[in-house]
Amino acid sequence: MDKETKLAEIRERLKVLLVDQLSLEDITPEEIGDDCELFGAGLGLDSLDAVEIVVMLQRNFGMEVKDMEKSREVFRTIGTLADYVYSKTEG
Amino acid sequence: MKILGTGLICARGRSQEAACAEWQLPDFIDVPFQKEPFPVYAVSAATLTDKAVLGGMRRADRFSKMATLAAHDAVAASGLNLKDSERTGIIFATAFGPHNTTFRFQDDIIDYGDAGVSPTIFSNSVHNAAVSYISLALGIKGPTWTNTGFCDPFEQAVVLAQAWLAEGRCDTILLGGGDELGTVMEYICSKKLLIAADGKVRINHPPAYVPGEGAAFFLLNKATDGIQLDLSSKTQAKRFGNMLSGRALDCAVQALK
Amino acid sequence: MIPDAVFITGMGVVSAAGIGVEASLASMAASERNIAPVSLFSSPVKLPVFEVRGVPPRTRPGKMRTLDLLEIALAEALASAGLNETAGLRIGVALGTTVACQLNDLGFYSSFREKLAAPFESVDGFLEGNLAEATARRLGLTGPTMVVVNACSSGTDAIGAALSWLNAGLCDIAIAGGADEMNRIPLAGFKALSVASSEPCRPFDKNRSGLNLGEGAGVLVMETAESAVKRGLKSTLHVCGYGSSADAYHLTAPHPEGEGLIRAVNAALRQANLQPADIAFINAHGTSTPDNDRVEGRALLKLFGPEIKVLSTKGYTGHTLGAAGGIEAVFTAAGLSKGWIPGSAGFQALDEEIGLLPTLGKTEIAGRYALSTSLAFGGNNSALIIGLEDSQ
Repeated sequence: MDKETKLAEIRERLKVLLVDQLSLEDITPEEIGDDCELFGAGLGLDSLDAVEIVVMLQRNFGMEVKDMEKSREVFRTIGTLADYVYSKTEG
Repeated sequence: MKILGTGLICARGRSQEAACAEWQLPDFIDVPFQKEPFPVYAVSAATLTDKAVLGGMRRADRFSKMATLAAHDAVAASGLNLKDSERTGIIFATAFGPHNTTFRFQDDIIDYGDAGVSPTIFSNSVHNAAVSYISLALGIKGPTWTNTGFCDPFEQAVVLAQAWLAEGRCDTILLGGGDELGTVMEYICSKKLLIAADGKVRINHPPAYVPGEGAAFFLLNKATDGIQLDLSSKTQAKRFGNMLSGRALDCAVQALK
Repeated sequence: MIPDAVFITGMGVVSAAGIGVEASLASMAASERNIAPVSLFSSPVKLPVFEVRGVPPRTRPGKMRTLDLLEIALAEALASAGLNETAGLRIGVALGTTVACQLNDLGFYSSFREKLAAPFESVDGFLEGNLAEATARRLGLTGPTMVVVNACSSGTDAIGAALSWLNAGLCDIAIAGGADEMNRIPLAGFKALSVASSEPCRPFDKNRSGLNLGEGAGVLVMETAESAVKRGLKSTLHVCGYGSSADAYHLTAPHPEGEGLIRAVNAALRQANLQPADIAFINAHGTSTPDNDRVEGRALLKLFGPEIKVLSTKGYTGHTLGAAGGIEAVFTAAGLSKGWIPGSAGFQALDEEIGLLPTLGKTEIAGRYALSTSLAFGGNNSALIIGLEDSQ
């Protein structure tokens, strides 16, 4: 599978997981854009969601997020998160 | 203390609807620890659906939702706007707290290991989560308290509410009680209590119990007119009681009639 | 004396800093920090913690360790208050906890999950182990009883409840404080919240990276002036003000401007009829998390100015959750009484964002009032003022 296809697959899987694991209301995975900001004005996630995403990545992708400070940029959008997951699991 | 408004969530439904409902047999549910169906008075999913109140509480568990709806209804019934009120306190009494979430957290430990557990489940698993949600949903900024006990936590909460109003710590108090059903607690009840196999609660000797769940709240101030809620002398009941915390349910139903 | 003030006629404490008030003070004066990997149970969470030493994990199968720790602090408190006999006295019990109010026994739950049956030792221990009910039952007490479960402010709040009871005439004496044990379940929870540090905590330090969990119990015996006189006691220490206020901001994060804390402190000052300038020192909540210390530190700076003496004793005890308010009330009272407070352990470098410099070593205190603050997950903020009267 080439990188773009794999990244697309990761993005879709992340959207499903976010809606499910964070109990997001009034939004479906399909409605979340790749460039949608996760925190602040976009999905409106907060600090508790951030640590929940860390657990979600661990359980579903076998990844550790060691440094929460660095995670700010990585967790910015679905796209940046998918890139990070790809780099840790496939790269 | 004057009752300005009440809110109630129980198997009979919500607030006014609940108070006027006719007596019904409990639900008989399948439980994994015994062959016979187990009677419970459970709050229905429909009762806990209210986007206007619970929207924005996506993380909250059933325990917190029951408490928040009952607290909201008590305030709504009073006609008062308590948003940003620094002079309103909350005291919420419970025996077992959000135990379903406590055990969900323990599921996480068993299934994923201590280092792989959900922080959101942990945050919801503590007894004081419910009043945090109530405070957030209603914008209440006075003291927000939870107390717990197996004998008479609601009565203790009444005693403290009276003291707070008398000393001027608060002008109004949201005072309530609540507890929830769950498989582990049903198992414990089955071992500790005589469960009414026919679903009919009896208070005579021997008493027969049907576990239930719910939450009830009063909004109170220190006025001496109108319907009053007071506890001038307290008796301690040293026994394992019902799933529902104290007698909040009976008081609320009486007040609503 | 301030109208609402009640005497402190006894106190008891147990934590990683030691068993008993004197031992704890000596340990803190010597800057000892008894932090180590968890030894009370096996856990893959490799975080350093502050465990109580010299107390066996369990004194009886099924009995919660929290109750054991409470009984140690309680014994010291009752002895120092001369309360060997409680018959005929109107005594209430208000205690805070976070661990002991839940069936936090993985052995029981694993067994139930697997076999749909489980031994009831820990269930019975849990049902009989509500801290206030068990204490009242054991000592034959007839006054009000309450277990406050407000997370990290529980111990302070329990003392606040006792103050209200005594002023309302509901009892003449009140046992108040908090207790919590080191437990595998909250350890996993705090790790998951990413607020626990893998290093010894550094409250208010620029490079702080989180809290360390601890365990223990701290208890005050509080009583009305009339009751103390009747029992032939003279005490110079008293509880004179309490405030409690919610942020209504977030389930786990504090209000960024510390609004709830400021309201709570002001309420305590009002009840005590005091101004910020009257406060000689503050035993802060100071958990060493980036958020708490920034919010709390800035709020205290705003209220009291940069010269206020402030410390966190969590550098010696860890964050003892429901016990914290009780333990810290004891240390606050002891600080006033002895005329000194220890250095704020773990602090090395000023955080410019906070602007408060905690005590760097043993510090002399000349003043009559001190403040203890507690900020809870869930947004409740509590403040307690303890005073020292001139002896008559």
